[in-house]
Amino acid sequence: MSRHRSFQPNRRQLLQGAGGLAAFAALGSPATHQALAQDAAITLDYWNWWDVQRQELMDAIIADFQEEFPDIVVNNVPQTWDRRAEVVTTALAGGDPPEIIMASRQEIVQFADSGAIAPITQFVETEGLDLDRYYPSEIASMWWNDELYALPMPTAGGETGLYVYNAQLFEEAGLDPENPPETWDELDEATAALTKLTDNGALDIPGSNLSMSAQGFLAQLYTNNGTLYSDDLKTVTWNSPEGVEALTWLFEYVQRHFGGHQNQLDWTNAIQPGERRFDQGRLAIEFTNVSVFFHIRNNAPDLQYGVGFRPYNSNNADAKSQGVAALSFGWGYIIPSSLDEATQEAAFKFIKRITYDDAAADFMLQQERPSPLIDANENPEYQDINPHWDKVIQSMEHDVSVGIVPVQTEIISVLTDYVDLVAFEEMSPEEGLNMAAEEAQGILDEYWSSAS
Amino acid sequence: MTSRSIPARNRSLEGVQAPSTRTSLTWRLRKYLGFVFIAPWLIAFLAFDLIPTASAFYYSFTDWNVIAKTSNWVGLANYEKMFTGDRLFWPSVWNTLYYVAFAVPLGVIAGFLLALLLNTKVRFQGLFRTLFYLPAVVPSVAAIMVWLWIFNTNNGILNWFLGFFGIDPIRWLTSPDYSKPALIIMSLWTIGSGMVIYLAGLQNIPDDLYEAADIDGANAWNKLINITIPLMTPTIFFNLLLGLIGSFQIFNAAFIMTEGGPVNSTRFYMLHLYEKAFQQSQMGYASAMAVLLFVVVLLITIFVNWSSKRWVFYG
Repeated sequence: MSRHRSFQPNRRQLLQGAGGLAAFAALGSPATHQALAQDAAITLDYWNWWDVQRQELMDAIIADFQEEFPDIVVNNVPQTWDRRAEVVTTALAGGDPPEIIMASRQEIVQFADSGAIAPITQFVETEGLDLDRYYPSEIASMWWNDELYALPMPTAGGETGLYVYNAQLFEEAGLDPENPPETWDELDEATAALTKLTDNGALDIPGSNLSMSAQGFLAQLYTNNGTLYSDDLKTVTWNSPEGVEALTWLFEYVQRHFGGHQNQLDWTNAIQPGERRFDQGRLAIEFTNVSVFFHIRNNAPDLQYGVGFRPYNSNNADAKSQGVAALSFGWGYIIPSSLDEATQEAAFKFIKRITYDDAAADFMLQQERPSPLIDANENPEYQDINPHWDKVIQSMEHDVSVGIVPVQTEIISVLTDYVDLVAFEEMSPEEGLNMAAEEAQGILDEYWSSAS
Repeated sequence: MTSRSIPARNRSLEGVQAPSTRTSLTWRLRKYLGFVFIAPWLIAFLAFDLIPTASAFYYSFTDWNVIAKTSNWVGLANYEKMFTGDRLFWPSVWNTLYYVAFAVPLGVIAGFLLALLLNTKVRFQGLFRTLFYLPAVVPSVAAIMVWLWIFNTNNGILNWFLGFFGIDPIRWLTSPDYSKPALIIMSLWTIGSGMVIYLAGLQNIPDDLYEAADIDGANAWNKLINITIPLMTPTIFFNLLLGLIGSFQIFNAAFIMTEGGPVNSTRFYMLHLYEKAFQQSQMGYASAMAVLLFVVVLLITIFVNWSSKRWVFYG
């Protein structure tokens, strides 16, 4: 019998040994060194919707930023568009939100009013940012209750003020491509000449994509000197005589040229995701936003097209061509109020980088779209890329900022319902707008009474 | 020395030696071992089902703002608003009931008929079964994109097909009159899942019943009415319940295809609830809507269950 007694660890010893080995291995790994280094830094999860090729551009900005601020780690986290509102709401409500969220103008006001996001006024003052560098229509919707909550990028303007038109289709219809429509009457005439129907009355090539929708109506409203709300945001004003005239004109325009709203819906529903009818020469005039130039250059570089300003009602002496900023688009970057001050400060530094610094201007230039920063759009490179750049800048300057209230989504939803009813001839434009205004006013009154 | 008998509560493991006094604690804990095994399910059930459901009941009596994290007790105000102050509530109820009334019977009948067909001994039976089941596993979003094309007024395959019978193009998705029928037709896309359950039920019917019927001179119709359908009623009952519960929650098709339009004709209950909750941040109100739906579906389920005594035959 051997005197040697082999070592047989009991279970506790075995577990202790394994734990020690695991801890040693973990501490020694490069990943852990990195993790420990990052623990000392501030980590910012940056939720955004800059996907596809824009993600690479954003990654480059982040890399430069981190080189300058090694103690701030930025994680670029592009999100999908699917159920976006649900994702953002639950992220904020869940108690552990990302440090920076790309938010719509409506969301910014809604979240600011709820106290869910932190004001950045103090940071802006500390950093000495000159807010006059932004177009007034761009920065206006970033404020709520005298506090600034976000900085804009990209533009909320340039969304409704411009249109592009197919020069070849103009010529074929006997129209002068050098003189695109400037007024409602001229647009009416041009659409009549440009629209082509199939033998069975379906739309083949529509003269334009003006349609009976809430957004379509609001864009027309502002070219008839109408407004969404009063200046103090306490009264719904879309059912003014200007509003009724705008919706009536739009309704009759769609009826006259496109054979009605449903005909136009059928045409729209046939468009496949990613398909652009204008680039294919199957839409004569496209009311669109400033991202259109990039798409045309990619999809149809040889397309002969011109740019015009949204036609206005020349029968109204006070009306003029103007776009509306923050009506349906435009983004800013918000910081949840639940974060500690150091993290908020770090988040602001990055927000400044993507909205105010040279990198912000370059990010827009790379996408051939205008910046909310006035001086950035004066870069001569834009002129080389886009022969219509002067009109883009003019459009940005003409844009007015639409008022936004925290219950905006609900109010626009009401308007959408009634414009739809008018479109389906369930009621007259005047009746529809009045009923919509009455219901929306109730929502607005309830909000303001609870706010006070 | 007399041996100690094992206490009744410790006899769960037959043939296991009686515990000594020293190990009695461990022994007693054994009876809780089952909880450890069901813990993953139990935790998930509590976290994702029971607690949220109970919370929804509570929040339905508040004006819970999920963003501001404020919640004030408002009593029955949300329910009152639902019935009297929300213009779109009753249309959403009507649209949902319309959909349920047609989609559920259609799905039950079509699934059953398909299963009968695929239960016959034909060549490539397995292939056919696979083909008919396949749509049930296609992601709903992908299927919806296909159906958008099928229903297109001017270029859709459905209108093209109907054209052979001299039927003018129908505005399936752009007319308030046809939008709900379109979505009901689309619901047939997923009858494959019900079909599989019916097939399983059909194969459980003993052959000797059919043989006896043959001897008695029964034809196919007699056998279907007197043997197949009665013995399939438990399966039909099961599919009916699933169909009812699922149809009351119709959401994806309306959310993606029609966004509730045209003219709110496809604004179903769940779509309205979703918009209130996540687009308008009215979580208290949305909770009240969820509670009402829960109660309605529960009552219908109880009713169907009660009625099953009269028409479900368990052999």
